[in-house]
Amino acid sequence: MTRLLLYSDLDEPITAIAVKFADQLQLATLDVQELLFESAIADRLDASGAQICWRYRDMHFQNRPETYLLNRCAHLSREWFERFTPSDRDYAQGECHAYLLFALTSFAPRISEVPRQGSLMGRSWTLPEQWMWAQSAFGGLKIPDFHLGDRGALPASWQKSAIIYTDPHNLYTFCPNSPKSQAAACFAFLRPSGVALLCSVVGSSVEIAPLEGQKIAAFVKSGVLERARKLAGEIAAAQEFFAADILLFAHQGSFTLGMFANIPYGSAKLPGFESRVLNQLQELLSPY
Amino acid sequence: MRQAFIPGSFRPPLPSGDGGEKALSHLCLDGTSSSNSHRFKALRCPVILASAFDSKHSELIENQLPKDHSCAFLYLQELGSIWNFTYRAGVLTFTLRNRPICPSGIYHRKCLLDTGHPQYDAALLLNIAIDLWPGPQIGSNAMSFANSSKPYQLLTTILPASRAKKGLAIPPTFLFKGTESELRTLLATEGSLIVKSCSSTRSQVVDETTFLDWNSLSTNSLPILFQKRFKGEDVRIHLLEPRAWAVKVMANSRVDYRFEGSGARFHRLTPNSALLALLRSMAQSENLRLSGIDLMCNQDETICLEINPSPAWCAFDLHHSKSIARAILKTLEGTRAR
Repeated sequence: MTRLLLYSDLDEPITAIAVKFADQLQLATLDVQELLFESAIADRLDASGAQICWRYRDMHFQNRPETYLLNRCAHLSREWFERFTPSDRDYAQGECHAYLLFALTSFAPRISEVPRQGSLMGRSWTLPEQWMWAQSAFGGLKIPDFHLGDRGALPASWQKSAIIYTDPHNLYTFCPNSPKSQAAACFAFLRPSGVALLCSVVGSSVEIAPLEGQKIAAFVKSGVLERARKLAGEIAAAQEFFAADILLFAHQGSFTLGMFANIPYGSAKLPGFESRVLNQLQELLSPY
Repeated sequence: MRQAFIPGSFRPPLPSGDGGEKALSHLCLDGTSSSNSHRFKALRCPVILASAFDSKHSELIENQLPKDHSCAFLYLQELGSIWNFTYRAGVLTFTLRNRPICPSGIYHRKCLLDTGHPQYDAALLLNIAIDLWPGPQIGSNAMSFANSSKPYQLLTTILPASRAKKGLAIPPTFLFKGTESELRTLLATEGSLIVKSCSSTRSQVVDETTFLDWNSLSTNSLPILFQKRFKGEDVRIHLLEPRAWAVKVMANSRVDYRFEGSGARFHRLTPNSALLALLRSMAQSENLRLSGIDLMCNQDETICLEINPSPAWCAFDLHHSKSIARAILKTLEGTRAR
């Protein structure tokens, strides 16, 4: 039986906990850089399927039925490829990403988050992609009004509103601001009304905390928190996330989706997060 | 410093740059839309989006545009100067010299600006907008995902299809990183191998008669894709529902016909309907409207190498009486080609 953690960033919240408790979890750990640059690789793909075969020092890893891969390959850092001659860096990074897309998928279904479009670790959608998906998947869920494109064509009705200019991949900017760039096109959206709730999802457990220190006692009585908990759990389940931050804005009995992210930086600051993750990891790995 | 195994000289870059100063983006207007009274009225027509360095496909389409049809040809290098776009509430609008254009369909030749280009970020936003837009399109960014990794596409699209039909196979493929001696052992075990990029980066395919002369230390730099060399004829099939165009490629001695010095020759052929149905199902599984499928065939079997989501069909279309160009136009206009 083999339990393998493959990770790209030791500071990523789930990675940090998994590495800390690796002995207790009987988890072998492998840094993606060790795999890509220090290991021997002898994979084969033919009519019978994919056979993954990695050798790092005295350790061997294969995608056998008894192996489970805890996938925390969030990204490939540009800095890693500075070990290549300058003219090869872009190419080497593209090749490594393409290789990992294949190799990680070869562990399916015994992998925590299978690579998807835009990410080697589950789904990593931009804000507008998240919103459009959520709108169609969850009928009653509202989404922010947003604009993509010509910065001179922002709606006149937005002038006195709380506009947020950001990169669509930046999931954590929700404070109104001014545009930083003068590029011809921009991404902007109106900050949703209401109280921002951080829903921390780990497996089937959902904890909720106000993002900006508001008092939410009234939400407990009115059942808003319970509804938020249910909605966040459904979003995380639909995305097949192991753990997630989900930002909801509660206003007059309805919710507007802020964002969801499967690297739970917000959740990691909440009390009890470590023990929730540890419990979930023990449950996830118990069959292997 | 480390070097990639496939040398830069075997990875010919796509042409790029700022596109020069010449304005290429333009509208071809039918008689009604070109009148003065319609100058600022939103025009609904196909939009062809390409790089200034990949204009030949656009030109071929423009040559096939009937006189009573309109079409917008936009070049990415001119985003923000001559034309722009907005996406709000599910509506995508382009403006070309103040003329609004509501696309009936978009043909997005896979293209991106150099990272240093001032409108690079704007081009990324355009990709997102096109992916969100629900209208008919060919070649969007989202459609290129599976082909961004050749072994991933083999594993997730082509292998499942090959299991459904006898006679279609995938090439035995090896992802290798190790010493030169281990590579020689692989060669001794598997026989002749070819090497190519693992990603969608274009590389010239060569066999061991070439790659054994490359830097032997770099076999351990990063994972490398090798495939068992298959002896057979190259076949290229373009699919654009419901049509298909197939050619057999007659090449001389090289492994990769695209790099034949004198140019390979194409002969039209008619593939059997069972194979076509299978290829269509593979293209559909990747949500591809237009695809270019690379096969190799011999008497015993057919292997599928790759499904290109943004195929360069220009050279092939000369052998199909430019009917691919016309079919693309019809798809973008919402009707089928005759």
